[in-house]
Amino acid sequence: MSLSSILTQVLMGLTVGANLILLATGLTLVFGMMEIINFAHSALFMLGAYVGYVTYRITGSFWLGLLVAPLAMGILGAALERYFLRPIRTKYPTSHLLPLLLTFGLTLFFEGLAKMIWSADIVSLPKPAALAGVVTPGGVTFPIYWVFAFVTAAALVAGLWLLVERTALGLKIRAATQDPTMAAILGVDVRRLNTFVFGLGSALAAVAGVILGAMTSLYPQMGLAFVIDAFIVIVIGGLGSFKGAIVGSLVLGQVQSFGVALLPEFTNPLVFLVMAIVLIVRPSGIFGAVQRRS
Amino acid sequence: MNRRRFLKTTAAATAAGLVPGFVRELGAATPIRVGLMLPFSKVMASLGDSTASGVMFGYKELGAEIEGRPVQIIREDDAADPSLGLSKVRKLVEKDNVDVVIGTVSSGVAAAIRNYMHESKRLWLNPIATNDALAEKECSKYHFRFSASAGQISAPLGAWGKAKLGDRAYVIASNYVYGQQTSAHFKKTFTAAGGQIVGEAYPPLGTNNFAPYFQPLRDSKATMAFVNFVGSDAVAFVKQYAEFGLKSVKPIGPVNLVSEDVLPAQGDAAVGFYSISYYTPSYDIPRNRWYAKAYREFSQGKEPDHFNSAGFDVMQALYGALKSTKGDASNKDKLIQWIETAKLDSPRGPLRFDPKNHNPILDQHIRIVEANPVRSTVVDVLKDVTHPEGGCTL
Repeated sequence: MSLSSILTQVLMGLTVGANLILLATGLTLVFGMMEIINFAHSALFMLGAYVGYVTYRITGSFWLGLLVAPLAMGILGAALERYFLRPIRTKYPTSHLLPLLLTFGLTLFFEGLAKMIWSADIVSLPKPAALAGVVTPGGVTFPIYWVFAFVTAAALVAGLWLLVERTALGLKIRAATQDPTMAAILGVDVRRLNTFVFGLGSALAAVAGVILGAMTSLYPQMGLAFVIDAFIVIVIGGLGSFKGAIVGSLVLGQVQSFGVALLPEFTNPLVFLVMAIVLIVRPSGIFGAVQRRS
Repeated sequence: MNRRRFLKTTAAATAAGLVPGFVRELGAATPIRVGLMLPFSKVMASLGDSTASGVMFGYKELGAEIEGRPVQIIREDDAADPSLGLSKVRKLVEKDNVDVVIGTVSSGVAAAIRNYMHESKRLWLNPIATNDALAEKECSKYHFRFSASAGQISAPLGAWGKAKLGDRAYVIASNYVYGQQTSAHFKKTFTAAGGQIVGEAYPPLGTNNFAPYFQPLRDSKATMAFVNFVGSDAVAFVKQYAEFGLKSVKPIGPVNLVSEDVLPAQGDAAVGFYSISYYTPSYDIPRNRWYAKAYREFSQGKEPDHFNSAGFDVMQALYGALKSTKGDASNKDKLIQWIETAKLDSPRGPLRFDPKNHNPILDQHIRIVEANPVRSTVVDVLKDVTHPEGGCTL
């Protein structure tokens, strides 16, 4: 492999990884705080992309779509937590199965709804004209839009990092992901925090939906493939860990990028091999708590 | 034989030609029963809908009666599911007692119903399903294909690509039967023509990010790329191929790469992509000018494509064959013989069948996507393309 091809694959891995972080953060924080595997994440990602698409069709502005989609999905996500998940979790506090089934049902509902509104036809969100063209650093051809995709995701992740690691709110979130009961006893309003985190995760998924939607295409089942990758990421990184989601995403991005270049036939098994090795060495993931509460 | 069955049979025999005029006067002609089995739900629904629309266009154009017998169409949905398809086709044959089955789109369903159709000896008109086996050892004298085999939409690109797009080819296609079969055909004919395969990659079905595949493609110094993706994969691939500025490596592939169902989403990114198809909406011959106009009126603005035009051709063959027997659907040998020797006036140009395997003999269009408006236009026509492999005994 030449130096320029190595550089290309690194850049591509970073772009994919950065957008995976946006998806994985919502999943991992929700799991940490509520112990819910949130299947509805793929539907919120998909709806976010469609909201961006509709906004673009009405106003002609990609940028407005990028702004409206996370707002709309943040509100929808928070409402889903408040009016669907919270009642079920209050009524059946020990059940992990019911919230899981609920989020799964919501996914099917939203996919069906998207099919009714926008049909199963494949549509496309055009990227803004300002971001057309390529840059060629060091002999590498790289589309400007992909640079934008990386920079946007990286900036959001940096902001999130500050929020989670450096603010009082972030301290509460970290406390609640480690032990919600103890955090509640110490005066943290965990229920409101749950709603906030669910909304935040949904908004991030919507940003990823718009950015990735313009790279690929939109159809009602588009979320599945991306969210499966996000699940792999949080298993590698450690369920419930924000740091884990970042490291896991970057690792997966590079494994996929170099896997395709070096071992094309073996790329998919390679991803799962990495996951298996991590789980053998560290059963709870790279940054997972060694033994979670039972 | 019960009374009802007896009446049915005698009525059919009468209608079949003994005294057709007499029966018509009495208004007692038994219908010709046509089973129409296509995917109307799930992933291939839009393809099934378009095909059915072409069949119904044929029904409207060619008339609701053949030799005084009304044509009755019974629809079934196979949902592109092989086991469901088999039970639906059994229902059509055993319960509805259809004379002919029109179906289907999915190659998996076609493979699943092949043995049953062969043994039940019903005429089987296959508008779309492309699997090679139906033209090789799984062929059947009751089966006629109207679209093209996987071989017919990939093998011709070897020699053409070598001559027009250069002698170094990269192969990139979805990692499943259709992608692999078409790639194998292309590689065989491209190397036979003296070209060199400089690399290949088979991304899994449902790939969103093709960028990691691009640097090896660029490094290979290929002059052309054989590409085969379907649906959302085709959209993502074409958009990213354009984004990464790779179009100097000339891309070419089967019709589905830039067909009418994905082209609007691909937009300008698809400009410059070559494809091969037996049908092109803009193909400028009188029959197609008529078809495109009449079909748009019939379907209230839906576009003519390779699905509905094949559906229409199925009906042309069915009506022609049944007219030759004066509406007698039971004379299978005569029906088969008529289609075998027919030269249909199809929107794609003259359509004939290969007597060796009942696969169509096609004039294949090589097209390129142009801008303003974004659409495929024909740049070359390859005459009399047959299925590239043998192995069929009818």
